Amino acid sequence: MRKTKTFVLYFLLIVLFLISFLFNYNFKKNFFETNEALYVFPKKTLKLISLGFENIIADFYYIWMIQFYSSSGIGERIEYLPTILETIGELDPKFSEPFTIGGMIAALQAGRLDIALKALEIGLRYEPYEWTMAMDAGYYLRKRKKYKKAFYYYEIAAHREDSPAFLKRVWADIAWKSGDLSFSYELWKNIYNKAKTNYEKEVAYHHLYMIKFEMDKKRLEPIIENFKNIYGRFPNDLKELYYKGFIKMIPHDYDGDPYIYNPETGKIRSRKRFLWK
Amino acid sequence: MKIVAIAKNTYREAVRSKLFLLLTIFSIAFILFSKVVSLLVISSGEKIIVDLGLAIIEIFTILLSILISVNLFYKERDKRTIFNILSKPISREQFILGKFLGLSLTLFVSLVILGVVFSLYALTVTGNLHLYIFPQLLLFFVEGEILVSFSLLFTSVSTPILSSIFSLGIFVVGNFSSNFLLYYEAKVKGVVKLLVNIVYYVLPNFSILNYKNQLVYTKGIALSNFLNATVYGIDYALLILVLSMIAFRNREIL
Amino acid sequence: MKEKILEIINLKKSYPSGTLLLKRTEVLKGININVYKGEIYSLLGHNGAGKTTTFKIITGISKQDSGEILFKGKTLNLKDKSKIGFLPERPYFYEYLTGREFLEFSANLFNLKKSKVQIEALLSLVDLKDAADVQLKKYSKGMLQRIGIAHSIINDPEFIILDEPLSGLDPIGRKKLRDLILGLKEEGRTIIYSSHILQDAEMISDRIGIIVKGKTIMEGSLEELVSGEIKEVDVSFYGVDGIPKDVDYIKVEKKSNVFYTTVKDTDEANKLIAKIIKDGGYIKFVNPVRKTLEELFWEIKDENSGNS
Repeated sequence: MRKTKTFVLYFLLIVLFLISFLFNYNFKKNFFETNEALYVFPKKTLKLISLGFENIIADFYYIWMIQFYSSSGIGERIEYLPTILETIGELDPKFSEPFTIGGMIAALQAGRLDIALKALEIGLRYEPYEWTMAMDAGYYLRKRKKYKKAFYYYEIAAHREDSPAFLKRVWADIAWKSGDLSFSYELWKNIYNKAKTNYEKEVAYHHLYMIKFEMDKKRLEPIIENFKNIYGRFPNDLKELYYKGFIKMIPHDYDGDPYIYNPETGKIRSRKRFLWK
Repeated sequence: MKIVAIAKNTYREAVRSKLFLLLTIFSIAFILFSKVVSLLVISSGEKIIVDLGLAIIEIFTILLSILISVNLFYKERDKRTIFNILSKPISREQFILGKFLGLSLTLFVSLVILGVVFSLYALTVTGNLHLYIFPQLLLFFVEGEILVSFSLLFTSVSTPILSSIFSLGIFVVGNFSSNFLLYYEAKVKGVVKLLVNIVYYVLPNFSILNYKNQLVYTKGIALSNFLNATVYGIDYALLILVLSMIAFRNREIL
Repeated sequence: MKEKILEIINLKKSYPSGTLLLKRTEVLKGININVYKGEIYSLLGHNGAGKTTTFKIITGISKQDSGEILFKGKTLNLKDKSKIGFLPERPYFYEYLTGREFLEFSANLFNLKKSKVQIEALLSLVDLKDAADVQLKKYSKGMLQRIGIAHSIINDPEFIILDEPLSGLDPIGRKKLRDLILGLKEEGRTIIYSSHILQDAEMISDRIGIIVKGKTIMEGSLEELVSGEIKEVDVSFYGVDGIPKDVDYIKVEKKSNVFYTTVKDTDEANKLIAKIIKDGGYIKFVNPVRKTLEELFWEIKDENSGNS
């Protein structure tokens, strides 16, 4: 009799637990789907209640953020990202990974460049001496061919004290892509002068050579066209442009050698060609 | 010698208690679990391990300081072992001091054990001993001292449950007040501002002892800051200890 | 004139009670005790009379509201406690300590460094040498009381306070403990102990104090307390046909021509004896029956609780 009673009691225990588990499971499914925003904590509230455990709460909040954005179909959830990152930044300002990962999720997974930039801007505000976030912002803009804005971020990244040398090169390259050839030229010159390795020097030289050629070409081609309009023919050589007062001096390439000019097409080309674009 | 005898006895009783064993086992288990948690992030796994390790050790310190102090003191009264001591030529102040020293020793030994466990574990999973956490562990010890003093104060005048709640409340308010001031001092006025400042200055400021959030980045605590925090903490702990001696002086032991 | 070791003068004590603890309940309403050097003093009283409270005040665990406690003629202070030993009622010790460790710990509380030999001697005295390395949580009630006695004399005290040392013990345990207490007295120590077992007090006490509802009602030696109180007289006689008349008998029995009677008091006894001699009879024995301590105790308790 006693054994039966015991069995019944344990059986009841298991059944009741299973029932409660099922209810909870259903509730969780509905609750979490409709109350995602509940997990987006106002930063000051969370910091106030952190009781000195800001770092670990930031860590767990970040881990939760990764899980939150891991499921497929981010959709509207990406809108919460800046608030989440503000809170993490408030708790642990030096924790940069959430911002870089958040930016990556927004830019590459959700396709929301605006949110990605917002996320990285928040990170930069909390950690103004960090270069990775500025670099990431520049990268995402560069991918979308928004070179002018990318230039701004790469400038920030390149100016950070501990930023790697390659960033200056990327910045110089973006300057060229955004159309500012002369600024790009100055940057590459600076890189060349401060280069610590032969490789850096070589890369800088290649860029300097080709940018000078591009700048000279850009300047000369309209002048050659103008000559043709006046004289009905292309100049015989670049010296003729000089002697007839169209140019103040005969341009040479970065090595000081004359460009190769085709009087039939009026086109100039450089003696050397480097793979640089 | 009398105070040492009481301290030794308190330490022995503390480390033999089930509560101490449970707290230590769970803390070590959570420290070992930190590696699993660190796998959920991309590149800051080491940071997670250090943050989690420090958080666990601090929580352990808080719980040990409050629960063991309250429990042991209450047990003395409940089981009347206190009669054996107070009937001897020992003043109540010496009794409290002996208890405090015994609990401090318990706290110190546990923190050393947890610190060593953490360092060795961190060495196996991250390749570093992270020895820079040890100054923070010392500050955890000072924090624990303050909570032990408060627990003794509350237990000498109140029941164990209320004492635990009050002591935990002190920890909460002590951490809460600095952040509250940071955000709201400029916004509150008059009596509220006065009250907030009174709470801030009268209650312990645990934020002064808390460098664990910066530690993972700075890899150390400036000596001046460390000494500042230690002196403040020990001074405050002794202040509350004296208060508990005064409170216990006239307490009726039924 | 014997030296007075302990003198308690009009000790009073109350505790807060009631809603918000605003009321005060008096537990000691005037305790007066005088203990002389080398004697065993029993403090008797019903449960809740105030015995333990009195001892707690003497040992400094509690504080009195008013009254004085003099030890060897001077107000009792912290230093005097080094000359006093105390065994509390229902003693609880640190369960995880062994008997030996407990005695070492107790010695340290007096700033005493007891040698191994001294500890062993104490353990032998209380017959616990074999259980010295057993944890106290495994001790029986009697063993706990005995280790308690050992701990109460660890400091070689002049004056020992034992609170209900014999309660809860079986007859063998009680005899062992009584013998221990008597042994301590023979060493020249003064002992005060409380009990509500009156037979023990009758067996070993030199002086007795009776407290009822927090007040000392009576104090003195057993003889002083009960000697004048002849309750009744047993008179046995033979050689007469019947019992004389006009005598106030309480009991009459006859066995083989011998009468066994009990009369009310000595006057009736004298009247009976005179009549028997006049009738030509013979007196076998005359035995005055004195009041026992228990009867005295109940009488006092009833008087003080307002019962007739």
